[in-house]
Amino acid sequence: MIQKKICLLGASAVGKTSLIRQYVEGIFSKKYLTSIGVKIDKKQVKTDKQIVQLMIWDIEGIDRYCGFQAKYLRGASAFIIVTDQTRSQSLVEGFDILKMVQEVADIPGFLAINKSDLPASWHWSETELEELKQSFNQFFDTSAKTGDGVENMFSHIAKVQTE
Amino acid sequence: MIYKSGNWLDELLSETVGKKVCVIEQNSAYLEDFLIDAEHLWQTNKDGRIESGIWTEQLSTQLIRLEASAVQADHQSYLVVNKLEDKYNQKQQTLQIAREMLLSTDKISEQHDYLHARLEELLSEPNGSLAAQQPVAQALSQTDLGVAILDAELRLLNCNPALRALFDDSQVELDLPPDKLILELFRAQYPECERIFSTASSWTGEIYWLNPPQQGKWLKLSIHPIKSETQRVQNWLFSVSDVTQIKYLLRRNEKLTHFDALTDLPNRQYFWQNLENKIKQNRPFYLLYIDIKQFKRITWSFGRR
Repeated sequence: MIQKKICLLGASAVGKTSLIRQYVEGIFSKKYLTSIGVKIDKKQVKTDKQIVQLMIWDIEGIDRYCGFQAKYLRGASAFIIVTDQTRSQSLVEGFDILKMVQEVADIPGFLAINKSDLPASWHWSETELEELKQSFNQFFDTSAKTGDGVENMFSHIAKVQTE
Repeated sequence: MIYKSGNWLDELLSETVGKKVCVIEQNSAYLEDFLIDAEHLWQTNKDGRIESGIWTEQLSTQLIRLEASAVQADHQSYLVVNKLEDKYNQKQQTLQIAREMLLSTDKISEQHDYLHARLEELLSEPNGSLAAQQPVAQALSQTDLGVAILDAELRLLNCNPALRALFDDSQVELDLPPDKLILELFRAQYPECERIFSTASSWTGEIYWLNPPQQGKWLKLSIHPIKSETQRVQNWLFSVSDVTQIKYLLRRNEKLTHFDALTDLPNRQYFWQNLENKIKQNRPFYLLYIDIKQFKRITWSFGRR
């Protein structure tokens, strides 16, 4: 079994903690409770080649109250930037975070467009979105509420780790 | 040498149980990561201190919040792991409100910006000056923002139900239609009002509508000129949203930051802020310092109960 560190980053209230809770415990809570600091969860994923233990780092939302901390990425094998498709600003901030990560780490980056159970109310055109998605290794539409796309995203990331 | 209090450390770092000296195993990934930085500090042999930042660990029956410090002092290396309770709760309470506020503000700004862009596009079209045209009416009915479209002389051309709803109060009888009331509040509260209109500038800010016997409403108002190709003002666009709730959250957060949750008395932060303000005034003042003797004994015996 190999162990891989995956960091979840993004603006506050995009659903990072909810995505992990859905993936690890299969639970979703509608109430928004802000995270402080870091929480690490583990989950084993069986890929075609071997078992991967994902060490998923849930990192406090990056906003005016909490800056980007490069030290959290030390030893990470991949990162996921989570955005909320009901809030345009979350993608702008996600993209800023991506640039900061790329300055300190050369690892695969994935984009999670979360809250796919809700109507997309951000005002990005398809062309703009396509351009932004190009900066990531892969993107996933996810819903921490229904679980749609969540398992698929983490399984894909685990699989990439064994290739 | 290991010193500890509380059972949580036995569960988190079971390798320390019954030992005075041990090697920390890989039970806490976060602590393990922090030890890399700690070792750097200890190896320098220079006095100093670094903090880990807050992290959460799930034990068998409880979720605990921790913060570690690595200290180097007088050629001795220390690792201190603190279990946080009050400090974490207070920080979370403050941040929760601050972030909820940030979300509401973001959402409102996003709505205003989108509406401006959309209506500017529609109204700038060749026959766009007719503010009653179908796409404009549609855009107005679809938004939660109160919107009024006025002509260059500030006469109302169109407004949406959301605007009327903002001022719709069974207990208050309005003397003026909403667009006129907004203009009156704006003129009364912001002396720069006339300059905005005469220079065809955009403006965003907050106006207060006192509507006794109700508590009053804080309204975010955006005023935006829509110009023709020749840069002449064709229309004025007012968009309004109720931000009373955000104001309330802001006040609540200020209270959490500056007042002690237990006694409701101003706290140390409040004191320092006031002191700084006094110093900034650059005028002599007196500071009376009263120390309650032996109060620590009470805190030590009874904690913050």
